Amino acid sequence: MNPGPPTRRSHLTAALAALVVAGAALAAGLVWCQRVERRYVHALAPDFSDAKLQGAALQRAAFAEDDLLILYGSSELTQDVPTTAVRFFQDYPTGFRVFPVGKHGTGALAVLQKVAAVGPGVRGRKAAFSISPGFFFYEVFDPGQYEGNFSTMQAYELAFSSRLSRELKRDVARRMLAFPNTVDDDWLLETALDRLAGDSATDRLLYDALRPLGALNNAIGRAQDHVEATLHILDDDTTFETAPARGPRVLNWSRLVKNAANVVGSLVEKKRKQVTKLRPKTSRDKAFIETVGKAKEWTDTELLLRTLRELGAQPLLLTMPIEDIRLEAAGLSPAARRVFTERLHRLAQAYNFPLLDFREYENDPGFLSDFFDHLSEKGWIYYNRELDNFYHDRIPQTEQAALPNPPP
Amino acid sequence: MKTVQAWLEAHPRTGTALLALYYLAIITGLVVMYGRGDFSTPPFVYQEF
Repeated sequence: MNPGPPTRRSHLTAALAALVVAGAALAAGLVWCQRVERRYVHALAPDFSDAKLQGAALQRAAFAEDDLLILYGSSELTQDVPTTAVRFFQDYPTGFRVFPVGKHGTGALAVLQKVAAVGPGVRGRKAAFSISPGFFFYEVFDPGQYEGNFSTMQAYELAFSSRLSRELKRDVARRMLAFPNTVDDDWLLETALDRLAGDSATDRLLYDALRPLGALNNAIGRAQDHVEATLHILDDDTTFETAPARGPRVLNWSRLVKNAANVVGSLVEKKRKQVTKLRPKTSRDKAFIETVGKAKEWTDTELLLRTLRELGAQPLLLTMPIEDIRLEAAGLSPAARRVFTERLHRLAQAYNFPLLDFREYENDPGFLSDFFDHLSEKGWIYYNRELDNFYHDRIPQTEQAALPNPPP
Repeated sequence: MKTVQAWLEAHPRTGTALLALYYLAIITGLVVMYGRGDFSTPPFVYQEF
């Protein structure tokens, strides 16, 4: 064996030593980052930063905590309402805090990528999913909303996930490719999704050839995610308390509902005024039912449920009631509303996931604060009560304990 | 320059250690420059729905 000239040998030795030291420093740094994440994850519940929503490290850390309940949803989570789940449970009144994930326009396709990015951390864990009916009222929902929620890191995790079946990844890839702006600048992601979507023998072969590169990319992405989360925490560490105050107490739900009902009067009045302006002269049932029937959100919601099943999650699905007053404003009949609620129930039943639709509050104009699926102070109390029941394995108090009969 | 080279040749272990530090600095620089991911989202106009 020729050891080579002394200078070349010293270069190799130095390079090897530098790589070992850098690798050890990186590993130690990542362990430290994860400790910081664990230390601050409770305090990050009310945070809606990109580090939390677009990464997976903080969501994974939250899933690992027994006293945090993750609630995925969209714009209702970020509204300035005093009784939102994150504020209501901020002092762990019954032993847990809600960790919301989502923002404006976070539809099912974006949510499923977030869940897929958490991966095995979801197995056996409870998570609640707030489903906004409004997403189903358009055949194709505004692509800008999906783009505004898109995370390359999460998309990579899904595309190269070893936990999800090829069939599921194929179906998700087909939907993701409907938003080309999100993958145009990333050849590896775009190629992987193309190959998954194509699903021919050649496509499968090429996808398998890309997998090592995808795994390497995911490893780098996870490291970057930990660094980003830690930098975010350290940037704002004065605002995050490591040990938020805890105030265990018995919750009197009927009193809480009564108190909230007293403050929604003005918004109900506002909605009534809007109805007089918006109410169409003719019924819009036909067009509405057609649109709801074709909405791509159904496909995305089913893909989300498949993702949850394959990852072994224990979800609770919640959806806001489509209030009578909203039907009036939109020129719709209760029959049109049933098209949505019954189909959603059929979907949830097919996967054996519990779904609460709060239909007994459809005649309450104070459940939502507007016509855009944003819960009012009162609506949040009902939501919170069911989140509390879900966390403590209690039977739901809404009428949804009795689901409609499945179709023949 | 010749003095430094001569000194390094006379102390090969120190030379290798300094070289390792030099490579480490390069690796650190690369990590700092390109190590951070982009977790931002494109700006979008929120339209209530």
